This record gives sequence, structure tokens and C-alpha cells, in this order.
Amino acid sequence: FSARHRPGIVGIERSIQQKNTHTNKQISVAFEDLNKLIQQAKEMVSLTKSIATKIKEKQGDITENETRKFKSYLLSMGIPNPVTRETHGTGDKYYTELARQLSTVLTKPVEESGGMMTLTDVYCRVNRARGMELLSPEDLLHACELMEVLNLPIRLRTFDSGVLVLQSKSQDEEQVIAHTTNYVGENGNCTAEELAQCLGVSVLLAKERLLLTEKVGGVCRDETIEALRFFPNLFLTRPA
Amino acid sequence: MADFDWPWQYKFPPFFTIQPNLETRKKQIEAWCTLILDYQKYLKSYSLDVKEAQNSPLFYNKSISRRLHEDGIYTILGELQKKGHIEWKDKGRKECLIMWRTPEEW
Repeated sequence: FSARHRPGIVGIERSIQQKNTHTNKQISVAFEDLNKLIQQAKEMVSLTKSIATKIKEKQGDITENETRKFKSYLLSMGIPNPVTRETHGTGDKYYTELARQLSTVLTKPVEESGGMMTLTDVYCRVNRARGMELLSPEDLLHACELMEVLNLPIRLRTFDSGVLVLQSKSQDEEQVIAHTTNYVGENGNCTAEELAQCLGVSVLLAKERLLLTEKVGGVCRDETIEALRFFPNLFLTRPA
Repeated sequence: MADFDWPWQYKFPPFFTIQPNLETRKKQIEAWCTLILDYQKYLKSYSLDVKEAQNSPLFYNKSISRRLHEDGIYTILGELQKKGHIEWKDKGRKECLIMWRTPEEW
């Protein structure tokens, strides 16, 4: 008789035990494999580091094919190492292609939303449209950083507050400032929320617009517990 | 005694928020300095207690419910001191002597 066919409680107990040992074995095998994989990856990491130092010795000419290849190796392994690589090849081919693709997809939506879109919005849009093979936030950021170099119709821009936006090249900053100044002047004063509603842009962007206008002296602020309001800058425009 | 003639800035809410824009702030502080000196002259008062002043009409405009906060007051008093219109009576900077004209002008 094998254990399975034994009748009674002892038989049931044995079969349960057998199952347990089996799953245990499977689990430990799985983790062993993972360990092996990690070991291998570790070797790759040390190897790439030594290559990086080699490249460093040669000093960077512009986008050599060798460094480019090297970068895509690093990328596929998930060890971005920009500090030592930045002088040897400006960004990766993958990012370049991604930047191109993004600009074709996004140019229209960006223009429709008033020439500016925050990077988080962009991230939502792109990934929702993709469904599979999603972008990591880092990929998106790196791709967007390259847009200016590639002369694409949209480019990345950082506001003083640290907010990142994609801005279409056709958008004229001075026009935005003039428009905001006018709007505030016509309404006497306004908050970011009011401006956002009127222009149909997000509150975040409306606020950036107001801050930008404030920076050049077009408006001034009135900070109270209720809200941060912006007024026409009478300090500068009205004679004393 | 005739009513004090408030400048237009006094009814302008942003006047009570220290402006972050440097150029704007310069104009704003200038206006504040003139206002403080004029007001003290009107009251014929020579000293100013910072705690008390916070609730005086000078720094608190009830009609538009705006108030210049303590930090702002110190910013402006600092500017006045630089110009030589003010002398602190104590080290804690709680009370100061206000001179409508600087000692040099006298």
C-alpha cells in the first residue's frame, strides 16, 4: 500500500503532510532561482561599472555609438547610472525615440489645453492611452528632457515652484503675461481658482501663470486667511 | 483736528501683504515708510509700541479688514531704521522712538 491508499485518519494526515512538503520544496526552489538571478545581475552591475570607468578615461566625444550601446544595456538592466555617464553620450536612443513619439502624440492635446500641460497630466494621458508597456515616471521625464535638444514642437519647462510642465513652442510667454495682467485688471482682482475657471486650465497652471505675471511685476498679491488674491500692480503703475 | 488723509494704498488690500517681487516691494515699503511718518506726525506722537501699533488704525484697516502682520511691521521699521528715522528704546525691539525728520535733517 502506498500512503495515499491507506484508509482512516492516518491516511488523510499523511496526504496533507505530503502536499505541504511539496509546496515547501517548490517555494524554496523558486527563491533559489531568484538568488541565482540576483547573483548574475550583481556580476553585470560590477561589469558595467568597470566599463563606465573605462569610458571615463577616454573622455566624452559627442554621442559615440559605443556609449550609446552601453547605455541601452544599462537601461535594459535597470541600473541607471547617470552621474558617470552624462559626459559620455547625451541621453539614450530609447529616450530619443520616446521623445519623438511623445511629441507627435502630445502636441495637439497640449495646444488644446492652452499651450501647457503639467507632467503629471501628461503621464496620466500617455499611460491611459497605452494600456500595455506603460512608461515609468523616470522614462517620461528623461524623454521630455531631450525634447528641447531634438527641436520638437513641445518642450519641458520647470517653474520656480518645481512644477514641471510640457509647453508648446508656439506659446508666447509675453502674451500669456499680458493676457493675465489684462484679466486681473478687468476683474479688479482674482484668485487662481477663478482664473482657472475662466481660462479652462487647471488650477495649478493658473497659479503658475499668476506667479509668472507677478514675477515681472504685472500683478501683486493680497494674502489673507481666506485666499491668495492677485490685484493689478498699482504700486508700479499708479503714480504716487 | 482734521481727519488724517489716508493715501490710496491704504485702501488697496495688497498693501497689507509684503510683496515677494523685489521691485514691487521697494515701492510698497517706500509707501509704508511715508505713511508711518505722516501718521505719527499727525498724531504728534514720538514713540511707537509694536504690540499696540498692531491694533491701531495705522496697521489695521478695519474697513477692508486687512492687517499688516508683525513680520511685516518689523520689515518696514527696519527700513525706517536704515534711513535714520527710528531708534529702538530697548534691545527686544518692542518700542521705538520715531523721528519725523532724521537727526541730520534737524
